[in-house]
Amino acid sequence: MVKKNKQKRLSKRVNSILTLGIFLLVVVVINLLGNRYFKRFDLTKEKRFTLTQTTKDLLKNLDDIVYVQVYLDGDFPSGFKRLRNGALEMLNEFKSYGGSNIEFEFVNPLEGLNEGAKRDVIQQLYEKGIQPTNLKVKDNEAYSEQIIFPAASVFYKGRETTIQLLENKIGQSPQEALNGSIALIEYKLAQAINTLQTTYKPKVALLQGHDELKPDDLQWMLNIMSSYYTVEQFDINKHLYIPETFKCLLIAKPRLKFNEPDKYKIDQFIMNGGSVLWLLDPMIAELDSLRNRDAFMSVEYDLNLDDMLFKYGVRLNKNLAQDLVSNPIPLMIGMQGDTPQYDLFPWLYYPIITSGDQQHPISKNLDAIATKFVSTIDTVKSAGVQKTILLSTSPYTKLQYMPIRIHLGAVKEKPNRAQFKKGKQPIAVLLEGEFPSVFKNRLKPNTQAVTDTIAAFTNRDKSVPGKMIVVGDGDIITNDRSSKGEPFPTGYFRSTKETFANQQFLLNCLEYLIDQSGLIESRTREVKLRLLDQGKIKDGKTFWQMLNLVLPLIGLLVFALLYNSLRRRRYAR
Amino acid sequence: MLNIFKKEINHFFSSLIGYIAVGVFLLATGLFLWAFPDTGILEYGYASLESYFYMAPYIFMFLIPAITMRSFSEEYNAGTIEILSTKPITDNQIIGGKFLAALFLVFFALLPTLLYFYSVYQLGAPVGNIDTGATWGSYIGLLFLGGAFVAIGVFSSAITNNQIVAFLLAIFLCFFIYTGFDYISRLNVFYARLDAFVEQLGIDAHYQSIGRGVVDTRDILYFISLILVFLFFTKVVLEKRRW
Repeated sequence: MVKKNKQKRLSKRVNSILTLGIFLLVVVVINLLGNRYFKRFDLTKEKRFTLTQTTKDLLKNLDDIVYVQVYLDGDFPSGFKRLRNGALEMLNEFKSYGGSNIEFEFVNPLEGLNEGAKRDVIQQLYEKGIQPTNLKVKDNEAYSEQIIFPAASVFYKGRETTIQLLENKIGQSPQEALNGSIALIEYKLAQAINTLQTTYKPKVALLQGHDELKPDDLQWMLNIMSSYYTVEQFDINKHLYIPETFKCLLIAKPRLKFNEPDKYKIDQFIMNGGSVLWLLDPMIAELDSLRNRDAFMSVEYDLNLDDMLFKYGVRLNKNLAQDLVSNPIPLMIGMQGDTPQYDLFPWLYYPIITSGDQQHPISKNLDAIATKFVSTIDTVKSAGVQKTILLSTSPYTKLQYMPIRIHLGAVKEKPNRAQFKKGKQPIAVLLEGEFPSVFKNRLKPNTQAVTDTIAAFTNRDKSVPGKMIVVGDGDIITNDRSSKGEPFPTGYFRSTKETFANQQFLLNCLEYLIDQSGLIESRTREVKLRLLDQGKIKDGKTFWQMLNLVLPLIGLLVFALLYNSLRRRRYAR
Repeated sequence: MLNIFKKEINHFFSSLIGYIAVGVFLLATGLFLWAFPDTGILEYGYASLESYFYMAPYIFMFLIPAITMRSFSEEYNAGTIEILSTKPITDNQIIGGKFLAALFLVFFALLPTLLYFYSVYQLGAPVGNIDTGATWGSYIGLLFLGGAFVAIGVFSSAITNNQIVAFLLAIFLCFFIYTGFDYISRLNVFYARLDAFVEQLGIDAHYQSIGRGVVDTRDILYFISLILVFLFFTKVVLEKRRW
């Protein structure tokens, strides 16, 4: 009897341990399966955590580990915590598609280092292209300075690239800037991975032959571009046609006339699907001309491109825009001993462009852009061509048409606001679609005979779908140089020591013109800024505090009393 | 099961312990979010309840064990567990009833905090400028986290007849499963190999994932599995009495 009982108990024991084992096994298997077949519901309003399809594809097709090192770790103000969390969330999201091929780490590069070592690290990071951000941190009534690096390095197959996570925008509150930056994290990470992945760099031709800008004039931009593209100078006079191996033609500030053969070469490059970035100055206007005199007359360059551009859908106006929102220039105001004294004066011919198309990936979340002697662009009717105005001047614009007398005395005159009523004027236009050839029905028979002999070349009257961007300023791509001859960043304005987003704009343009992956679409992501109403808080702080602190407790107390009195009544009955 | 559930609920609301637990939870979150400047929503300046959802797990870590510590320990002590086992209910029903009752109390404690949501909603510039969807996601996450802690608490209570031991053990287990795996994953042994997997064993990774406002079936599955595993452990412990 006792033995039987014991046996029974033993079997019970075996039974329940066995079930436990089976149960655990089932749980593990279900979780493993669940990890493979999952579904996610993004409840956030802006679908913040839903990656674009292109990014998902990029991540799913990774064939090696992408290692991301984010230099944001430690204690910093809440805004930067949000940036860090944004990066963390995005990387987690990347991980859920890229799996074990995505690895990341958050580090504080300055942690535990002495002053000397810190300086070395800052220098090393600076050489990688990472700029530190100085923060004033208030602790115990005293302000101390904190250096942080809102940036990340991305490593893939022994290659490395860096991304800046913080986009500072002039005239934007720090919070807005942080929000814009958070919205761009996906794009920047995906682009970095994409860049590291492509061993092949698309070719860009820097057109030469019409006194265009020399590589020296845009050295900074060429350096930056070289990480994404192979840029080659292309002297059009020496070639019969522009080969299709070039994905994009960069025409930067030509100053001499284009003859008909050159135009034909460019036209056919476009007809065969090539992209063009036109950076054109229709008017002769350089500040250098004012070095020895007080005034000059600005007249047009005879570029002979009007008919071509008109056919594609734009007219580059022979004018100069004056804008109340503009950069100043330094002018000598006298001598102190031997050294000349300079002061900054408003120079309305240098508009600061802040109004870009907020829907378009090229100009969305883009900082202000510095221009010099910019001309406006009109769009004209051209069937099958879609036009997008990427950049416009401020609403306080005045247009002057040729001939224009530009004189230094203007800086001293107070601009008459009533004259600046032209409203926003387009200065950069994107054209997309099937462009008509400007040489349609115009080709001479002997030219035709020559082109027919070139096997790699097809004459077309209408383009395959293509893209081009026309900007009414050629100087947008140039860079200044320091007294030592080092190039400053493109868009760096020496006299005010401000850096404008010219570089980013041009990179976006090139990417849009060349990119086949569609990654740039994720630039349009938006994260709405959600702030509390500080006015309401100031007025009713105590009220809200009391409401949230006390009301729940009172509610609980009332519930307790009611519940127990009801219970007692029921028992009493 | 319904009878057990009712009995437990009744017990919570007619004894002081239930009110103290809920009251302390409300007081603590209220103070942290609305009175103390370092963690306060008003000082943070953003229309979101992020800090609430960040803090709540740590408060739960103490309060849920306080709620659950008596669920079996007391029955052992008073000998009522024997009475229960003579009644025509299965172990599953007893465990389920107790689990759901404690979870209900967690839910009950969360309800008044909807007032925080209302306040931030009203204080937003403009009014209503809070990501409602993401907030619901966070609430869902918090509820699942509460469920996991309750299951852990019920299990701890089942293995001892000493309520203090049950309380302390539950705190330790909650803390360990919540953040412990995260720390372990950073050990050098796991570095770059198993760290992601180890991290996924902990609650934190899943709670944060849902808390952002993304409801992922993997996270839900994780929470449900965790709850079921601990309830199953409890069942084995109860069966052990009959071995």
